[in-house]
Amino acid sequence: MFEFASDAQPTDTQSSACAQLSGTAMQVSYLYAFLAGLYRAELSQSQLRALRAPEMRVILTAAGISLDSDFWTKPESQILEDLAVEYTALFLGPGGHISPHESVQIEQQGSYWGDATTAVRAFITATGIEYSASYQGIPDHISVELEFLAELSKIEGIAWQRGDSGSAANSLEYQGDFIDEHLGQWLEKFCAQVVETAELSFYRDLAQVTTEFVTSEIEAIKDRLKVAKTLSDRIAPDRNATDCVAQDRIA
Amino acid sequence: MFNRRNFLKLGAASATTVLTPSLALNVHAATDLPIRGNRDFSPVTGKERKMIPSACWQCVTRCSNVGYVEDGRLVKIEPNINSIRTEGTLCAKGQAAINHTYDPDRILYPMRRVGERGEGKWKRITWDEALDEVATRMKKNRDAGTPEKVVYHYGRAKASHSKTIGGFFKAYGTGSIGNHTSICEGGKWSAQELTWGGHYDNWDFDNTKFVLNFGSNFLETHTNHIPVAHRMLWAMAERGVEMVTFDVRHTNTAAKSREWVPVTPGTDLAVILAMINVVMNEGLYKGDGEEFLQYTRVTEDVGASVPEKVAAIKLHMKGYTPAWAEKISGVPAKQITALAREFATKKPAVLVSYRGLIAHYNGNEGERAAQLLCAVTGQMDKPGTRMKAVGAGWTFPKVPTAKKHPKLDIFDGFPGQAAFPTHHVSHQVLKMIKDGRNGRPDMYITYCYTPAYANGDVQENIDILKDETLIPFYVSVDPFYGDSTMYADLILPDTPFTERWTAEDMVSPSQVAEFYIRQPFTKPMGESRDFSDVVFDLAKRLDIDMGEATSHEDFVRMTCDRTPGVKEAGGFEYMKKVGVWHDENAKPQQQVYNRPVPESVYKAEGVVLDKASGVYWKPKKAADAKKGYVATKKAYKGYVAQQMPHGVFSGFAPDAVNKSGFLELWSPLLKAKGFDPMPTWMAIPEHQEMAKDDLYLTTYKYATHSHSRTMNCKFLAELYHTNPAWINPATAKERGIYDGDRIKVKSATGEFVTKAQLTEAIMPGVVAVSHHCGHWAYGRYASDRRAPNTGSDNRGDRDYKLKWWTDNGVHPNWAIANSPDPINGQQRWMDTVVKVTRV
Repeated sequence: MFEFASDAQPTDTQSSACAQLSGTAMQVSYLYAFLAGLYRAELSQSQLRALRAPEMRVILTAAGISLDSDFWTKPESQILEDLAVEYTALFLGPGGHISPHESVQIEQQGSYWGDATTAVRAFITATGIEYSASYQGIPDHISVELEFLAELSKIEGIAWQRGDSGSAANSLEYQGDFIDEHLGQWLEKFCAQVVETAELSFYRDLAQVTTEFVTSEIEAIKDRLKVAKTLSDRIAPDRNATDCVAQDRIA
Repeated sequence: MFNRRNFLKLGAASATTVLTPSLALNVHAATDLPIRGNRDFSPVTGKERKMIPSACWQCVTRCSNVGYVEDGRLVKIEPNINSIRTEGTLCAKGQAAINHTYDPDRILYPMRRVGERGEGKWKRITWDEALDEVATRMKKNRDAGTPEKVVYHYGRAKASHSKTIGGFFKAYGTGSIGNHTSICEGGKWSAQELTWGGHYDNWDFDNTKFVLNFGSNFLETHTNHIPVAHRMLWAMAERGVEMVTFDVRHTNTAAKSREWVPVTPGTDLAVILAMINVVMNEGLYKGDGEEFLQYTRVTEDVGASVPEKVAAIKLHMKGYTPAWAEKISGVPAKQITALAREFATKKPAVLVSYRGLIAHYNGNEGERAAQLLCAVTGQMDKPGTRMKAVGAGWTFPKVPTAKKHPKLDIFDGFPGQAAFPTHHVSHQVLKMIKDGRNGRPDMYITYCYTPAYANGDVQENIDILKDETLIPFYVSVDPFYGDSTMYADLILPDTPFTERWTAEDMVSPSQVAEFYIRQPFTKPMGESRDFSDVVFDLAKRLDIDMGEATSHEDFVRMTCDRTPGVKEAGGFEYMKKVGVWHDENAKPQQQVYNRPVPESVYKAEGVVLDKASGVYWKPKKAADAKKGYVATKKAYKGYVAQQMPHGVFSGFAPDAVNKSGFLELWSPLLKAKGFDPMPTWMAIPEHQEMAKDDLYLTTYKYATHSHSRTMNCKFLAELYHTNPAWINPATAKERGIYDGDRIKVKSATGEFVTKAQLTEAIMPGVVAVSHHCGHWAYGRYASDRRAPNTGSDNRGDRDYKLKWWTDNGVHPNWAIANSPDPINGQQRWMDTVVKVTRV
């Protein structure tokens, strides 16, 4: 079972609680970004090297990613090739694959660019975050949804850092809503398919921890939000007020 | 009594200040009124959706259409109401094209095979890697002096796509360019090229009084489907035009006809010959027929008078009596006679023909006989008859070709297989690669083409595509994973047509050319790219000059901005806005053959008269003039005019073979190849040796599908996805077959199992199986069988879960041989002899 460091409690002093929550939010952000990077494309050589560093093995194992021996022992070029072929078979096709797009996974149409795609894009762009011109994928790719959550939790972390619990609460509400309306609607099923189908432990474990992490975040967000609201003197802005959300780029 | 004309005069008289009211309406600078129709609104937000005029590509008809885009997503496709071709109609296939765009089985990235061919193990690669690999092979072959080993084989590449992609390969230096026309209707075109020169006939239903139809199901499916089908329905509804349809099946076209005439497969030719016999014997050629015969060649002597021509036809047709035809075709002699009289006298009348007539061993003669029947009744190239087709004549930018572009001689069949394969013999290409006598490709590139599925001899096609010793490198350019793509070494993800540019040019039934364009509704999804853009990149890698354009959009822009008429209307910007253009002052084209040619033209310097053919032509060399027009290679390119007994005329100009400018029905070309120069009965060899329990296998197409490219459209697959074999109850009874029984259809080539559908809508002795179905890898809705990777692609697709059918039908081509018409190379889809047994 995936375990995540317990979040700060409102019993702490306000500043230490904020510092702690900022650290947590940043950790969450890094994790989302880390996962987004692994789903975005096949593993690159530099990603593989970073993952196969001896100290990383300990961290990954502790995080629930206990990859089989091939990952650690096979020659670099071979494991990169194996992972690329597996990534292609799992997420790209041609033909049968597990589509990493929300609209294909959840919609009545089961097609690319369904209503969910436009809803995801609308959700993201309404926060002031834009899609990068260089991103050629479809707006509701799993890596984009994870990256968006990374951005939101980063914004949360920055808010905590400056003691702005109102803005932190705002970001948390966005996070909660996005998981509730989008990622949470299809992630579990998607990851279950990957776990069942993957031939290499890398993508099997990745899918397993992804779903567990996001599931754990649903409760964690509520907890952090509770703290934020307790600490905050003001009411969290409504969904349309995006002034606390930094202009940022995604994907 | 109200007289509108006089009343209108009052309008002019009353246009004075005194008589007009003070204005209640404030009209701003009177400019363009909004275009009516072709608007759409979101039912959720009420906002108007963005309308983009474009063109369909589901079938070769390529109707104009418009797409509505909301939130960057194509949400609906409708007809373009401004089109004179479609007059605001679009078929189900066209509307379902949206399924192509958003098909979850679409390929979005270049893919390189990593396992065995056909194993289904792939790796995504970058476009740079993919194009480097292709360019390296092309360079290698160019450096080695073997550019012809780069073989480009397309299924559909028309108009500007043909110019850019085909142009690229010619500029590179390979002439090894194959098409698919012989598995479509190439034989009809070759027969037309032998007779009236160019190819494609338009049926002028707007002006006709009667339609005689041999083997065309054009109300359901046709190469110019919607433009002609809706016109025929108008003709029926508004003017009571009647049609008689000869077909082995009671098609939906036959059902709308006054009479369905069942005819034994492959014997329509006999019926037409007998009709000519009736026309000649009863003097029904007199008048219009005689006049037209002036422009027709039916004797060796090009100076023959009309009475001599009449005598020659009578003599040739003497034995082809209705009674003779009845014995062969099963059509009662009385009916043949009556219909011949009706066709000859109910003027103007159209003679329609298609694959029921021409996809046979004797198809070339069937079409030639059809041309002769039109000629002797004078029912040709005049309003209301069978007319020479008119399409858009774009002014395309030039793509410079290489000085030499040698080709592998694998596109016209084996020696002796086809005498005049002017549209090639594509179904023999893989066989010829296997044979190897004329060389093999080093790289085989298919574009919009599924050779494994589309041709006969399916198993052999697969075996050849899988064999790396026969085809070392196979590149498939395709938006979808499919029955052939699965055997590729490299897949270049093409865009569906909804994401492309093209300057289009398909035939206009009104005889006035329509210019129209295809423009993308949305950006190419993922990393898919239109191959006609990709060739510009490949050209850069290979230092090939593609001319002025830098992309296909650029090419289309230049084309619009340079084409007379379109240019003045506003060029590219106008076309992007409206999608279509035609010259409102243009008169419908007709009677191209009888324009007198002035002496200054046919006696110009360099022009000589070839006495044997009566052709005025411009030989390239003096030696060619000595050799004569017919014997000189590609002499037709120098055609100027035709000497006829009554003058020198434009004639039916040749454009593919060295025919004369007459409607040439006595063909010296065919005579030289050992065929009868006049349309003559040719029995189908296999049909003469049929055992008592043998049946004819015939194939057909259904309204909502093209041959092989639409079954992945779920809207269409839901409408039609399985194809039980039609069999007459009497024929079924003889075999102990009941409706719904599983039956085996077996030929000398192969076999398949399907269900029997007992119906009186097919004549006894025939079994009919449609194309379209029985895919083995073409997406979830077409094949069900998972592509070979994970077996789980359907899990997130709720629509797929709603797929209520499990039977995806069968593909008849497993049992049909790749076998050409001996004259033109047309694939003989309708000649297969089979045994049908209950399983």
